[in-house]
Amino acid sequence: MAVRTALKDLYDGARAWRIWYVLTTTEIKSRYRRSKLGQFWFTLSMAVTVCGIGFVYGALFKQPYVEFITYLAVAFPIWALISTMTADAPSVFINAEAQMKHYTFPKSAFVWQMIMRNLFIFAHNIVLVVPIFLFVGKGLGWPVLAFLPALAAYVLTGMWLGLLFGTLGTRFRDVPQILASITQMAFFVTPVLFRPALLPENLQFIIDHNPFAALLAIGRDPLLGLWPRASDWLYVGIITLLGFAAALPIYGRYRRHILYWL
Amino acid sequence: MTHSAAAPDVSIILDKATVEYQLFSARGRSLKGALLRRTVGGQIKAGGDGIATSVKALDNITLTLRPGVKLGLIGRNGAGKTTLLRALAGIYEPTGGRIIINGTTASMTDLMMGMDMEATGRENIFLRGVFLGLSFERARALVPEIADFTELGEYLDLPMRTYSAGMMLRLSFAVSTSLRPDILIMDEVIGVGDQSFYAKAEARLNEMIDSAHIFVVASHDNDIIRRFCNRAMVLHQGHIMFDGEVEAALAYYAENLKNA
Repeated sequence: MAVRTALKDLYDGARAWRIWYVLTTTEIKSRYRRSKLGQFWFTLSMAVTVCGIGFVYGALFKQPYVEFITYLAVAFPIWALISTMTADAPSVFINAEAQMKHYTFPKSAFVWQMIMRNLFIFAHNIVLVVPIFLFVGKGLGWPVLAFLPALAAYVLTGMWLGLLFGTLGTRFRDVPQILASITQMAFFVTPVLFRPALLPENLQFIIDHNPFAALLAIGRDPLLGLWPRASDWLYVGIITLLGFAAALPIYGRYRRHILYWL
Repeated sequence: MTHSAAAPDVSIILDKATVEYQLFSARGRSLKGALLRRTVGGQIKAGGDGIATSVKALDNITLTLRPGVKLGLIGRNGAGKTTLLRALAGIYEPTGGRIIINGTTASMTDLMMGMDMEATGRENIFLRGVFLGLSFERARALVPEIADFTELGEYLDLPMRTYSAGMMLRLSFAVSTSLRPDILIMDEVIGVGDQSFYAKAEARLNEMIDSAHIFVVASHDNDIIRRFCNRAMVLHQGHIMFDGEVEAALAYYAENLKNA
């Protein structure tokens, strides 16, 4: 019953796409309205990050710059997408308090909004690979097709994260901080700043048992011209199923309480 | 937005609707705290620890509203008026019982809601239209009429943050009153301060109220209730104390609750 309520709300939320579409575009527009560069500030700041980290860590880890910066230009935007969705998830309903107390949108519209905002930023970050790949003369190849299912997996991940932690985060106000700490820690054990191969054999387990690493890998490998590993997809599949198995009943059961918790 | 002339199926039905929620203290708001409490079990006295207070904002309310009703809600602060308004608008879902709403609903509780200060007046008209469930084309079609009504001229192409308070009020009033919902919910009847604009605004508001099949307003102002309503209800601590004639309800309220 609770699961049916949750699925119906998700469906109604998807049908209200116009609402989260304008919520997202006005949110991004008002952030950058007064600057000439507009939303391409996202691209610029990602370019600065990738180059900065590329040169410093490339030197520290004694990595060939070209390969390392190529890796970063792909891995960093994907990491930003996954980690920001995780960090944003607990606040999806808290931030929408004013709208929720005034309109009768399906509440999942705010989860869709969070996903769309992050995909929009991701799109502006990932375009960096074009000049970088052109510069280093790297092609994409057929495996790039495997990026599309990865993108779908990211949308699903954002959805269960938003439903589950959005509900919990409204009830328990320390959830945003807890998730922010987890994401911060995950950053150090996920191969964003280093390539997995760089890790010694006895430390490989921090990648093999790390859901963030699996999520990162399924999108990263296709863009680097490699077919993704079945084991990563299996891991992502299991996390996604478990995520929805927790998110749907909890959201369905407590959805009507969300407004009273605000 | 137009509505069908006859709408016999517009209705709001409350069937033993209860809204009961918990207000948590800062401690009750912590997941870490909740997990710790669970592990240390009975060491903290349940109930006496100030973690949550239960509030029954609506208590077992059964009520049917049909076309033609213009209902005024009377009651002291905290009587449950706003909660009932939100429940009637479909914003609050009851925690017990059922609420069935048939018809399009608009709730005017905060005029400025959904206005983006960085966006222009025109863009804000469009935004509000979309939030109220219109398609992009229909939201765009709203713009000329509303723009015209506000008499804001070239200001409509400037960001709203450059507006004076009076200009903002004009715009938000014009947008809020542009639709013709089946069910109209208001928390206090809105006033538009500006003298020259007043007559025009009042006519528009009256037209909106008249065209709604069901109108519900909460107000502390007896004159408002007398002017707009044909039925009134006294609320107290989440209960309906009186429901009936406007004058009788006002008298009941004055006698039993006003100074109690």
